[in-house]
Amino acid sequence: MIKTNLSFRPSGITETDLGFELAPGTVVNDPLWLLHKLDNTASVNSEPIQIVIGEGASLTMGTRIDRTGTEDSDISIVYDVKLAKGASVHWTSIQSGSTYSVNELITVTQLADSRLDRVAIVGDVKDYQSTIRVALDGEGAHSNIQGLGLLKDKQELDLTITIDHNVPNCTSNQLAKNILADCSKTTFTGLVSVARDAQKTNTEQLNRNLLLSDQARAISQPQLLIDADDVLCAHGSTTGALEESQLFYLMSRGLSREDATSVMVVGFAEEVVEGIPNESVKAVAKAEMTAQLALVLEGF
Amino acid sequence: MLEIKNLHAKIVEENLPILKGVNLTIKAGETHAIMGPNGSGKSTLSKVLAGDPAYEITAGEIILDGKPIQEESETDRALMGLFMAFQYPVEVPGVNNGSFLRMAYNAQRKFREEEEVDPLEFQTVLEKKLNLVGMDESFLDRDLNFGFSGGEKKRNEILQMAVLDPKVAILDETDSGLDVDALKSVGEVVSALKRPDNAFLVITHYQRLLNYIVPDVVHAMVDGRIVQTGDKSLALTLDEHGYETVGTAS
Repeated sequence: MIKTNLSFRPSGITETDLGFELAPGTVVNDPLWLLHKLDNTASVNSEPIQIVIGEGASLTMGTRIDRTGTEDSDISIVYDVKLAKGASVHWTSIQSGSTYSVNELITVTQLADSRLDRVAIVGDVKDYQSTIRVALDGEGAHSNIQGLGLLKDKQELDLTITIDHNVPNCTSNQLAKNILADCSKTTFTGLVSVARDAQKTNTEQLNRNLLLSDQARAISQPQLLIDADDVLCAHGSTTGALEESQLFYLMSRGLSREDATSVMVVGFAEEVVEGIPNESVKAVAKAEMTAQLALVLEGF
Repeated sequence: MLEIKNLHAKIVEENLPILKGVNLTIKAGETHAIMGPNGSGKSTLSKVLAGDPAYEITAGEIILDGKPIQEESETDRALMGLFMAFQYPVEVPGVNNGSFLRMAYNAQRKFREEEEVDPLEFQTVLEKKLNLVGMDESFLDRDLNFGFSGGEKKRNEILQMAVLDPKVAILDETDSGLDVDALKSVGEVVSALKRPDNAFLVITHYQRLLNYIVPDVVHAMVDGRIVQTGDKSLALTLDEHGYETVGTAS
Protein backbone atom coordinates (compact mmCIF):
# COMPACT_ATOMS: atom_id res chain seq x y z
CA MET A 1 0.00 0.00 0.00
CA ILE A 2 0.99 3.59 -0.53
CA LYS A 3 0.64 5.74 2.53
CA THR A 4 0.55 9.43 1.78
CA ASN A 5 1.77 11.70 4.54
CA LEU A 6 1.28 15.43 4.56
CA SER A 7 4.28 17.35 5.87
CA PHE A 8 1.94 19.55 7.93
CA ARG A 9 -1.74 20.39 8.17
CA PRO A 10 -2.41 23.94 7.13
CA SER A 11 -5.60 25.57 8.32
CA GLY A 12 -8.31 25.33 5.70
CA ILE A 13 -7.35 21.83 4.67
CA THR A 14 -9.70 18.89 5.09
CA GLU A 15 -8.36 15.40 4.63
CA THR A 16 -10.75 13.10 2.81
CA ASP A 17 -10.73 9.36 2.28
CA LEU A 18 -8.85 9.75 -0.94
CA GLY A 19 -6.91 12.98 -0.52
CA PHE A 20 -7.66 16.47 0.67
CA GLU A 21 -9.61 19.62 -0.03
CA LEU A 22 -8.46 23.16 0.42
CA ALA A 23 -11.23 25.55 1.48
CA PRO A 24 -12.09 28.50 -0.78
CA GLY A 25 -9.86 31.51 -0.26
CA THR A 26 -7.18 29.59 1.66
CA VAL A 27 -3.61 30.51 0.82
CA VAL A 28 -0.86 28.00 1.64
CA ASN A 29 2.51 29.48 0.77
CA ASP A 30 4.64 27.23 2.97
CA PRO A 31 5.15 24.19 0.81
CA LEU A 32 2.95 21.24 1.67
CA TRP A 33 4.85 18.04 0.89
CA LEU A 34 2.97 14.87 0.06
CA LEU A 35 5.30 11.99 0.80
CA HIS A 36 4.21 8.65 -0.59
CA LYS A 37 5.67 6.17 1.84
CA LEU A 38 6.28 2.72 0.48
CA ASP A 39 7.54 -0.46 2.02
CA ASN A 40 9.46 -3.08 0.17
CA THR A 41 6.57 -4.77 -1.62
CA ALA A 42 6.98 -5.83 -5.20
CA SER A 43 4.09 -3.98 -6.78
CA VAL A 44 1.94 -1.11 -5.56
CA ASN A 45 -1.16 0.51 -6.98
CA SER A 46 -2.45 3.68 -5.38
CA GLU A 47 -6.07 4.67 -5.09
CA PRO A 48 -6.55 7.94 -6.95
CA ILE A 49 -5.30 10.75 -4.75
CA GLN A 50 -7.94 13.43 -5.02
CA ILE A 51 -6.92 17.02 -4.53
CA VAL A 52 -9.58 19.70 -4.62
CA ILE A 53 -8.57 23.35 -4.46
CA GLY A 54 -11.47 25.62 -3.59
CA GLU A 55 -12.41 28.87 -5.26
CA GLY A 56 -9.65 31.46 -5.00
CA ALA A 57 -7.48 29.16 -2.89
CA SER A 58 -3.79 28.81 -3.53
CA LEU A 59 -1.42 25.95 -2.69
CA THR A 60 2.31 25.38 -2.97
CA MET A 61 2.81 21.64 -3.02
CA GLY A 62 5.59 19.12 -3.45
CA THR A 63 5.30 15.40 -4.04
CA ARG A 64 7.79 12.58 -3.91
CA ILE A 65 7.87 8.85 -3.44
CA ASP A 66 9.75 7.85 -0.34
CA ARG A 67 10.74 4.23 -0.64
CA THR A 68 13.16 2.54 1.68
CA GLY A 69 13.28 -0.87 0.04
CA THR A 70 15.90 -2.07 -2.38
CA GLU A 71 13.99 -4.77 -4.26
CA ASP A 72 12.76 -4.10 -7.78
CA SER A 73 9.11 -3.10 -7.89
CA ASP A 74 6.42 -1.46 -9.97
CA ILE A 75 4.55 1.49 -8.58
CA SER A 76 1.38 2.94 -9.99
CA ILE A 77 0.24 6.29 -8.69
CA VAL A 78 -2.83 8.29 -9.71
CA TYR A 79 -3.68 11.92 -9.01
CA ASP A 80 -7.01 13.56 -9.68
CA VAL A 81 -6.77 17.33 -9.25
CA LYS A 82 -9.62 19.82 -9.45
CA LEU A 83 -9.04 23.55 -9.48
CA ALA A 84 -12.09 25.70 -8.80
CA LYS A 85 -12.53 29.20 -10.16
CA GLY A 86 -9.48 31.38 -9.46
CA ALA A 87 -7.65 28.56 -7.65
CA SER A 88 -3.94 28.01 -8.14
CA VAL A 89 -1.41 25.26 -7.47
CA HIS A 90 2.36 25.35 -7.70
CA TRP A 91 3.24 21.69 -7.79
CA THR A 92 6.78 20.39 -7.76
CA SER A 93 7.31 16.68 -8.19
CA ILE A 94 10.69 15.19 -7.41
CA GLN A 95 11.35 11.61 -8.28
CA SER A 96 14.41 9.43 -8.07
CA GLY A 97 15.06 5.84 -7.15
CA SER A 98 16.74 3.42 -9.49
CA THR A 99 15.14 0.25 -8.18
CA TYR A 100 11.54 0.75 -9.18
CA SER A 101 9.36 1.53 -12.16
CA VAL A 102 6.73 4.21 -11.85
CA ASN A 103 3.54 4.61 -13.78
CA GLU A 104 1.98 7.95 -12.95
CA LEU A 105 -1.38 9.19 -14.16
CA ILE A 106 -2.44 12.75 -13.49
CA THR A 107 -5.74 14.27 -14.50
CA VAL A 108 -6.38 17.94 -13.87
CA THR A 109 -9.60 19.86 -14.35
CA GLN A 110 -9.34 23.64 -14.32
CA LEU A 111 -12.17 26.11 -14.04
CA ALA A 112 -12.12 29.82 -14.94
CA ASP A 113 -9.03 31.86 -14.06
CA SER A 114 -7.36 28.93 -12.33
CA ARG A 115 -3.66 28.29 -12.66
CA LEU A 116 -1.57 25.13 -12.58
CA ASP A 117 2.22 25.34 -12.49
CA ARG A 118 3.82 21.95 -12.37
CA VAL A 119 7.54 21.21 -12.42
CA ALA A 120 8.68 17.58 -12.38
CA ILE A 121 12.25 16.47 -11.90
CA VAL A 122 12.85 12.86 -12.69
CA GLY A 123 16.28 11.34 -12.27
CA ASP A 124 17.91 8.00 -11.71
CA VAL A 125 14.72 6.03 -12.27
CA LYS A 126 14.51 2.59 -13.74
CA ASP A 127 11.50 3.24 -15.90
CA TYR A 128 9.16 6.18 -15.47
CA GLN A 129 5.92 6.67 -17.33
CA SER A 130 4.03 9.84 -16.71
CA THR A 131 0.72 10.67 -18.32
CA ILE A 132 -0.76 14.07 -17.66
CA ARG A 133 -4.13 15.15 -18.96
CA VAL A 134 -5.35 18.67 -18.36
CA ALA A 135 -8.82 19.95 -19.20
CA LEU A 136 -9.10 23.72 -19.39
CA ASP A 137 -12.81 24.08 -18.80
CA GLY A 138 -13.11 27.70 -17.67
CA GLU A 139 -12.06 30.86 -19.48
CA GLY A 140 -8.83 32.50 -18.35
CA ALA A 141 -7.36 29.24 -17.06
CA HIS A 142 -3.61 28.76 -17.41
CA SER A 143 -1.63 25.54 -17.31
CA ASN A 144 2.15 25.43 -17.23
CA ILE A 145 3.74 21.98 -17.21
CA GLN A 146 7.50 21.61 -17.15
CA GLY A 147 9.64 18.54 -16.77
CA LEU A 148 13.31 17.72 -16.46
CA GLY A 149 14.53 14.18 -17.06
CA LEU A 150 18.07 13.23 -16.04
CA LEU A 151 18.81 9.72 -17.21
CA LYS A 152 21.67 7.26 -17.51
CA ASP A 153 22.35 3.54 -17.99
CA LYS A 154 19.27 1.97 -19.57
CA GLN A 155 16.77 4.20 -17.79
CA GLU A 156 13.63 5.20 -19.65
CA LEU A 157 11.28 8.13 -19.29
CA ASP A 158 8.03 8.32 -21.14
CA LEU A 159 6.13 11.57 -20.79
CA THR A 160 2.73 12.12 -22.35
CA ILE A 161 1.02 15.47 -21.86
CA THR A 162 -2.38 16.27 -23.25
CA ILE A 163 -3.90 19.69 -22.75
CA ASP A 164 -7.47 20.15 -23.88
CA HIS A 165 -8.40 23.75 -24.52
CA ASN A 166 -12.16 23.35 -24.26
CA VAL A 167 -13.15 27.01 -23.88
CA PRO A 168 -11.87 30.39 -25.20
CA ASN A 169 -9.12 32.57 -23.73
CA CYS A 170 -7.02 29.94 -22.01
CA THR A 171 -3.24 29.68 -22.11
CA SER A 172 -0.92 26.73 -21.71
CA ASN A 173 2.75 25.98 -21.80
CA GLN A 174 4.64 22.71 -21.99
CA LEU A 175 8.41 22.45 -21.61
CA ALA A 176 10.06 19.03 -21.45
CA LYS A 177 13.84 18.94 -21.19
CA ASN A 178 15.87 15.77 -20.96
CA ILE A 179 19.55 15.00 -20.50
CA LEU A 180 20.44 11.51 -21.59
CA ALA A 181 23.65 9.62 -20.92
CA ASP A 182 24.67 6.03 -21.76
CA CYS A 183 21.86 3.99 -23.35
CA SER A 184 18.97 5.88 -21.79
CA LYS A 185 15.82 6.72 -23.69
CA THR A 186 13.03 9.28 -23.49
CA THR A 187 9.77 9.59 -25.30
CA PHE A 188 7.87 12.85 -25.27
CA THR A 189 4.36 12.95 -26.62
CA GLY A 190 2.76 16.33 -26.19
CA LEU A 191 -0.67 17.04 -27.53
CA VAL A 192 -2.51 20.33 -27.43
CA SER A 193 -6.06 20.03 -28.52
CA VAL A 194 -8.06 23.19 -29.22
CA ALA A 195 -11.84 22.86 -29.47
CA ARG A 196 -13.83 24.70 -32.13
CA ASP A 197 -15.07 27.30 -29.67
CA ALA A 198 -11.76 27.78 -27.88
CA GLN A 199 -10.82 30.99 -29.69
CA LYS A 200 -7.93 33.17 -28.45
CA THR A 201 -6.13 30.13 -27.16
CA ASN A 202 -2.44 30.80 -26.64
CA THR A 203 -0.24 27.77 -26.23
CA GLU A 204 3.41 26.80 -26.44
CA GLN A 205 4.96 23.38 -26.48
CA LEU A 206 8.69 22.64 -26.51
CA ASN A 207 10.74 19.49 -26.10
CA ARG A 208 14.52 19.75 -25.86
CA ASN A 209 16.83 16.78 -25.51
CA LEU A 210 20.54 16.87 -24.80
CA LEU A 211 22.30 13.65 -25.74
CA LEU A 212 25.53 12.89 -23.91
CA SER A 213 26.04 9.57 -25.64
CA ASP A 214 25.75 8.14 -29.14
CA GLN A 215 23.63 5.33 -27.75
CA ALA A 216 21.06 7.54 -26.02
CA ARG A 217 17.74 7.98 -27.80
CA ALA A 218 15.12 10.68 -27.63
CA ILE A 219 11.80 10.30 -29.38
CA SER A 220 9.84 13.51 -29.66
CA GLN A 221 6.25 13.89 -30.81
CA PRO A 222 4.90 17.39 -30.27
CA GLN A 223 1.40 17.54 -31.71
CA LEU A 224 -1.31 20.13 -32.23
CA LEU A 225 -4.93 19.42 -32.96
CA ILE A 226 -6.66 22.71 -33.70
CA ASP A 227 -10.30 23.22 -34.56
CA ALA A 228 -10.48 26.96 -33.83
CA ASP A 229 -9.22 29.62 -36.23
CA ASP A 230 -8.11 32.49 -33.99
CA VAL A 231 -5.37 30.94 -31.87
CA LEU A 232 -1.63 31.21 -31.22
CA CYS A 233 -0.07 27.76 -31.07
CA ALA A 234 3.70 27.24 -31.13
CA HIS A 235 5.51 23.97 -30.88
CA GLY A 236 9.03 22.76 -31.35
CA SER A 237 11.55 20.09 -30.63
CA THR A 238 15.35 19.97 -30.59
CA THR A 239 17.64 17.02 -29.98
CA GLY A 240 21.40 17.16 -30.10
CA ALA A 241 24.75 16.77 -28.41
CA LEU A 242 26.72 19.51 -26.66
CA GLU A 243 27.93 22.10 -29.14
CA GLU A 244 31.68 21.74 -29.69
CA SER A 245 31.94 25.46 -30.50
CA GLN A 246 30.47 26.30 -27.08
CA LEU A 247 32.79 23.87 -25.31
CA PHE A 248 35.79 25.35 -27.11
CA TYR A 249 34.71 28.85 -26.15
CA LEU A 250 34.48 27.97 -22.45
CA MET A 251 37.73 26.00 -22.52
CA SER A 252 39.54 28.83 -24.27
CA ARG A 253 38.98 30.82 -21.08
CA GLY A 254 40.69 28.20 -18.95
CA LEU A 255 37.85 25.86 -17.95
CA SER A 256 38.65 22.15 -18.13
CA ARG A 257 36.59 20.04 -20.51
CA GLU A 258 34.82 18.51 -17.49
CA ASP A 259 33.98 21.91 -16.01
CA ALA A 260 32.88 23.31 -19.36
CA THR A 261 30.62 20.29 -19.91
CA SER A 262 29.21 20.53 -16.42
CA VAL A 263 28.50 24.27 -16.76
CA MET A 264 26.67 23.73 -20.04
CA VAL A 265 24.66 20.76 -18.81
CA VAL A 266 23.66 22.57 -15.62
CA GLY A 267 22.74 25.60 -17.73
CA PHE A 268 20.52 23.41 -19.89
CA ALA A 269 18.79 21.88 -16.88
CA GLU A 270 18.49 24.95 -14.69
CA GLU A 271 15.85 26.66 -16.79
CA VAL A 272 13.25 24.22 -15.53
CA VAL A 273 14.20 24.49 -11.86
CA GLU A 274 14.51 28.27 -11.98
CA GLY A 275 10.80 28.41 -12.81
CA ILE A 276 9.86 27.25 -9.30
CA PRO A 277 8.65 30.36 -7.45
CA ASN A 278 8.90 29.09 -3.87
CA GLU A 279 12.49 29.46 -2.65
CA SER A 280 12.52 26.49 -0.27
CA VAL A 281 11.01 24.17 -2.89
CA LYS A 282 13.44 25.52 -5.43
CA ALA A 283 16.34 24.75 -3.07
CA VAL A 284 15.16 21.14 -2.68
CA ALA A 285 14.70 20.80 -6.44
CA LYS A 286 18.12 22.29 -7.13
CA ALA A 287 19.81 19.96 -4.68
CA GLU A 288 18.07 17.02 -6.35
CA MET A 289 19.02 18.27 -9.79
CA THR A 290 22.66 18.70 -8.75
CA ALA A 291 22.80 15.21 -7.24
CA GLN A 292 21.17 13.61 -10.27
CA LEU A 293 23.35 15.54 -12.71
CA ALA A 294 26.45 14.34 -10.89
CA LEU A 295 25.26 10.77 -11.51
CA VAL A 296 24.48 11.48 -15.16
CA LEU A 297 27.88 13.12 -15.72
CA GLU A 298 29.77 10.34 -13.97
CA GLY A 299 32.32 9.01 -16.41
CA PHE A 300 31.28 11.37 -19.17
CA MET B 1 56.65 36.44 -25.37
CA LEU B 2 55.10 34.62 -28.35
CA GLU B 3 57.14 32.88 -30.98
CA ILE B 4 55.62 31.12 -33.96
CA LYS B 5 57.99 29.00 -36.02
CA ASN B 6 57.15 27.62 -39.45
CA LEU B 7 53.56 26.93 -38.42
CA HIS B 8 51.51 24.77 -40.75
CA ALA B 9 47.89 23.91 -40.00
CA LYS B 10 44.87 22.48 -41.77
CA ILE B 11 41.13 22.26 -41.27
CA VAL B 12 40.63 18.75 -39.92
CA GLU B 13 37.29 18.02 -41.54
CA GLU B 14 38.23 19.12 -45.04
CA ASN B 15 41.91 18.15 -44.82
CA LEU B 16 42.58 21.61 -46.20
CA PRO B 17 45.91 23.32 -45.47
CA ILE B 18 45.43 26.96 -44.44
CA LEU B 19 48.62 27.98 -42.66
CA LYS B 20 51.64 27.30 -44.80
CA GLY B 21 54.63 28.28 -42.72
CA VAL B 22 53.90 31.24 -40.45
CA ASN B 23 56.86 32.80 -38.66
CA LEU B 24 56.30 35.52 -36.10
CA THR B 25 58.04 36.76 -32.98
CA ILE B 26 56.32 39.11 -30.55
CA LYS B 27 58.47 40.42 -27.72
CA ALA B 28 57.13 41.38 -24.33
CA GLY B 29 55.69 44.88 -24.31
CA GLU B 30 54.97 44.85 -28.04
CA THR B 31 51.76 45.14 -30.01
CA HIS B 32 51.67 43.51 -33.42
CA ALA B 33 49.01 43.65 -36.08
CA ILE B 34 48.32 41.16 -38.83
CA MET B 35 46.41 42.39 -41.84
CA GLY B 36 45.34 40.36 -44.79
CA PRO B 37 42.61 39.81 -47.33
CA ASN B 38 39.71 37.39 -46.85
CA GLY B 39 40.90 33.80 -46.82
CA SER B 40 44.51 34.69 -46.08
CA GLY B 41 44.49 32.58 -42.92
CA LYS B 42 44.71 35.34 -40.33
CA SER B 43 41.66 34.23 -38.35
CA THR B 44 42.76 30.61 -38.70
CA LEU B 45 46.06 31.61 -37.15
CA SER B 46 44.30 33.01 -34.09
CA LYS B 47 42.16 29.89 -33.71
CA VAL B 48 45.15 27.58 -34.14
CA LEU B 49 47.05 29.56 -31.51
CA ALA B 50 44.08 29.23 -29.11
CA GLY B 51 43.86 25.47 -29.77
CA ASP B 52 40.62 25.17 -31.73
CA PRO B 53 40.12 21.41 -32.28
CA ALA B 54 38.68 22.10 -35.74
CA TYR B 55 42.28 22.70 -36.86
CA GLU B 56 45.32 20.47 -36.75
CA ILE B 57 48.89 21.66 -36.59
CA THR B 58 50.85 19.67 -39.17
CA ALA B 59 54.25 21.26 -38.58
CA GLY B 60 55.96 24.00 -36.62
CA GLU B 61 56.06 25.34 -33.12
CA ILE B 62 54.22 27.85 -30.93
CA ILE B 63 56.22 29.09 -27.96
CA LEU B 64 54.50 31.12 -25.25
CA ASP B 65 56.73 32.76 -22.69
CA GLY B 66 59.49 30.24 -23.42
CA LYS B 67 57.29 27.13 -23.35
CA PRO B 68 56.11 25.19 -26.40
CA ILE B 69 52.30 25.02 -26.32
CA GLN B 70 51.32 23.37 -29.61
CA GLU B 71 50.72 20.06 -27.83
CA GLU B 72 48.77 21.66 -24.99
CA SER B 73 44.97 21.63 -24.76
CA GLU B 74 42.95 24.80 -25.32
CA THR B 75 42.37 24.89 -21.55
CA ASP B 76 46.06 24.75 -20.71
CA ARG B 77 46.97 27.36 -23.30
CA ALA B 78 44.50 29.71 -21.65
CA LEU B 79 45.83 28.89 -18.21
CA MET B 80 49.37 29.52 -19.41
CA GLY B 81 48.36 33.04 -20.37
CA LEU B 82 47.02 33.01 -23.92
CA PHE B 83 43.73 34.73 -24.66
CA MET B 84 41.83 35.08 -27.91
CA ALA B 85 39.01 37.58 -28.29
CA PHE B 86 36.73 35.76 -30.75
CA GLN B 87 35.72 37.25 -34.06
CA TYR B 88 32.32 35.68 -33.48
CA PRO B 89 31.86 35.22 -29.72
CA VAL B 90 29.82 32.10 -29.08
CA GLU B 91 26.41 32.33 -27.42
CA VAL B 92 26.04 29.93 -24.51
CA PRO B 93 22.44 30.05 -23.27
CA GLY B 94 21.90 28.87 -19.73
CA VAL B 95 25.38 29.89 -18.56
CA ASN B 96 25.43 33.05 -16.49
CA ASN B 97 27.90 35.63 -17.75
CA GLY B 98 29.11 36.76 -14.33
CA SER B 99 29.41 33.25 -12.88
CA PHE B 100 31.33 32.09 -15.92
CA LEU B 101 33.72 34.99 -15.62
CA ARG B 102 34.41 34.10 -11.99
CA MET B 103 34.92 30.44 -12.87
CA ALA B 104 37.46 31.39 -15.53
CA TYR B 105 39.18 33.84 -13.16
CA ASN B 106 39.35 31.20 -10.44
CA ALA B 107 40.61 28.55 -12.87
CA GLN B 108 43.54 30.87 -13.63
CA ARG B 109 44.17 31.51 -9.93
CA LYS B 110 44.08 27.82 -9.15
CA PHE B 111 46.57 27.16 -11.95
CA ARG B 112 48.90 29.75 -10.41
CA GLU B 113 48.35 28.07 -7.01
CA GLU B 114 46.59 31.16 -5.67
CA GLU B 115 43.50 31.01 -3.52
CA GLU B 116 40.19 31.15 -5.39
CA VAL B 117 37.99 34.19 -4.76
CA ASP B 118 34.41 34.14 -3.53
CA PRO B 119 31.64 36.08 -5.31
CA LEU B 120 32.07 39.07 -3.02
CA GLU B 121 35.81 39.37 -3.55
CA PHE B 122 35.32 38.88 -7.25
CA GLN B 123 32.85 41.73 -7.29
CA THR B 124 35.66 44.09 -6.22
CA VAL B 125 37.90 42.81 -9.02
CA LEU B 126 35.08 43.07 -11.50
CA GLU B 127 33.95 46.59 -10.68
CA LYS B 128 37.25 48.09 -11.79
CA LYS B 129 37.24 46.10 -15.00
CA LEU B 130 33.63 46.98 -15.78
CA ASN B 131 34.53 50.64 -15.38
CA LEU B 132 37.55 50.22 -17.58
CA VAL B 133 35.56 48.57 -20.35
CA GLY B 134 32.57 50.86 -19.82
CA MET B 135 30.09 48.03 -19.34
CA ASP B 136 27.03 48.02 -17.18
CA GLU B 137 26.81 45.54 -14.31
CA SER B 138 23.52 44.24 -15.72
CA PHE B 139 25.50 42.40 -18.42
CA LEU B 140 26.70 39.99 -15.75
CA ASP B 141 23.18 38.80 -15.00
CA ARG B 142 22.55 37.75 -18.57
CA ASP B 143 23.40 34.45 -20.18
CA LEU B 144 26.84 34.34 -21.76
CA ASN B 145 26.65 36.34 -25.02
CA PHE B 146 23.08 35.10 -25.45
CA GLY B 147 20.95 37.71 -27.17
CA PHE B 148 23.82 40.22 -27.03
CA SER B 149 24.14 42.63 -29.94
CA GLY B 150 27.29 42.34 -32.05
CA GLY B 151 28.85 45.26 -30.22
CA GLU B 152 27.91 43.90 -26.79
CA LYS B 153 29.53 40.57 -27.61
CA LYS B 154 32.77 42.27 -28.60
CA ARG B 155 32.74 44.35 -25.42
CA ASN B 156 32.19 41.20 -23.40
CA GLU B 157 35.29 39.70 -25.00
CA ILE B 158 37.25 42.78 -23.99
CA LEU B 159 35.86 42.51 -20.45
CA GLN B 160 37.01 38.88 -20.27
CA MET B 161 40.43 39.95 -21.50
CA ALA B 162 40.62 42.69 -18.88
CA VAL B 163 39.60 40.30 -16.08
CA LEU B 164 41.84 37.40 -17.11
CA ASP B 165 44.83 39.69 -17.76
CA PRO B 166 46.66 37.36 -20.18
CA LYS B 167 50.32 37.37 -21.12
CA VAL B 168 49.41 37.40 -24.80
CA ALA B 169 46.04 38.63 -26.06
CA ILE B 170 44.94 38.00 -29.61
CA LEU B 171 42.16 40.25 -30.88
CA ASP B 172 40.60 38.52 -33.86
CA GLU B 173 38.81 41.14 -35.95
CA THR B 174 37.51 42.83 -32.83
CA ASP B 175 36.74 45.89 -34.96
CA SER B 176 34.10 44.17 -37.09
CA GLY B 177 30.68 45.32 -36.02
CA LEU B 178 31.99 48.10 -33.77
CA ASP B 179 31.26 51.79 -34.24
CA VAL B 180 33.95 54.44 -33.83
CA ASP B 181 33.15 55.12 -30.17
CA ALA B 182 33.38 51.45 -29.32
CA LEU B 183 36.65 51.14 -31.24
CA LYS B 184 38.04 54.05 -29.27
CA SER B 185 36.98 52.39 -26.04
CA VAL B 186 38.68 49.10 -27.04
CA GLY B 187 41.82 51.08 -27.79
CA GLU B 188 41.69 52.68 -24.36
CA VAL B 189 41.32 49.30 -22.64
CA VAL B 190 44.28 47.87 -24.54
CA SER B 191 46.38 50.94 -23.62
CA ALA B 192 45.40 50.52 -19.97
CA LEU B 193 46.27 46.83 -19.96
CA LYS B 194 49.53 47.19 -21.86
CA ARG B 195 52.59 46.47 -19.75
CA PRO B 196 56.25 45.61 -20.37
CA ASP B 197 55.47 41.98 -19.50
CA ASN B 198 52.55 41.31 -21.83
CA ALA B 199 51.85 41.52 -25.55
CA PHE B 200 48.99 42.01 -28.00
CA LEU B 201 48.33 40.60 -31.44
CA VAL B 202 45.64 42.43 -33.35
CA ILE B 203 44.12 40.78 -36.41
CA THR B 204 42.17 43.04 -38.70
CA HIS B 205 41.03 43.76 -42.23
CA TYR B 206 41.23 47.48 -41.88
CA GLN B 207 43.64 50.08 -40.73
CA ARG B 208 41.03 52.01 -38.74
CA LEU B 209 41.36 49.89 -35.56
CA LEU B 210 45.07 50.65 -35.62
CA ASN B 211 44.27 54.33 -35.11
CA TYR B 212 43.20 53.31 -31.62
CA ILE B 213 45.55 50.40 -30.93
CA VAL B 214 48.82 51.62 -32.34
CA PRO B 215 50.99 48.65 -33.33
CA ASP B 216 54.75 48.47 -33.03
CA VAL B 217 54.93 46.02 -35.92
CA VAL B 218 52.54 45.31 -38.80
CA HIS B 219 52.52 42.08 -40.82
CA ALA B 220 50.79 41.37 -44.10
CA MET B 221 49.45 37.86 -44.46
CA VAL B 222 48.62 36.32 -47.82
CA ASP B 223 47.83 32.68 -48.59
CA GLY B 224 48.79 31.29 -45.19
CA ARG B 225 52.11 33.07 -44.82
CA ILE B 226 53.38 36.39 -43.56
CA VAL B 227 54.73 38.01 -46.68
CA GLN B 228 55.73 41.45 -45.46
CA THR B 229 56.56 43.04 -42.13
CA GLY B 230 56.96 46.71 -41.38
CA ASP B 231 56.10 49.49 -38.99
CA LYS B 232 52.63 51.05 -38.64
CA SER B 233 52.97 52.82 -41.98
CA LEU B 234 52.58 49.41 -43.67
CA ALA B 235 48.98 49.34 -42.42
CA LEU B 236 48.25 52.58 -44.22
CA THR B 237 49.87 51.31 -47.39
CA LEU B 238 47.86 48.07 -47.27
CA ASP B 239 44.66 49.95 -46.59
CA GLU B 240 45.27 52.28 -49.49
CA HIS B 241 46.74 49.94 -52.09
CA GLY B 242 45.44 46.52 -51.09
CA TYR B 243 47.50 43.36 -50.97
CA GLU B 244 48.57 43.03 -54.57
CA THR B 245 51.53 45.29 -53.97
CA VAL B 246 52.97 43.27 -51.09
CA GLY B 247 55.58 40.57 -51.60
CA THR B 248 54.17 37.26 -52.75
CA ALA B 249 54.80 34.10 -50.84
CA SER B 250 57.75 32.14 -52.08
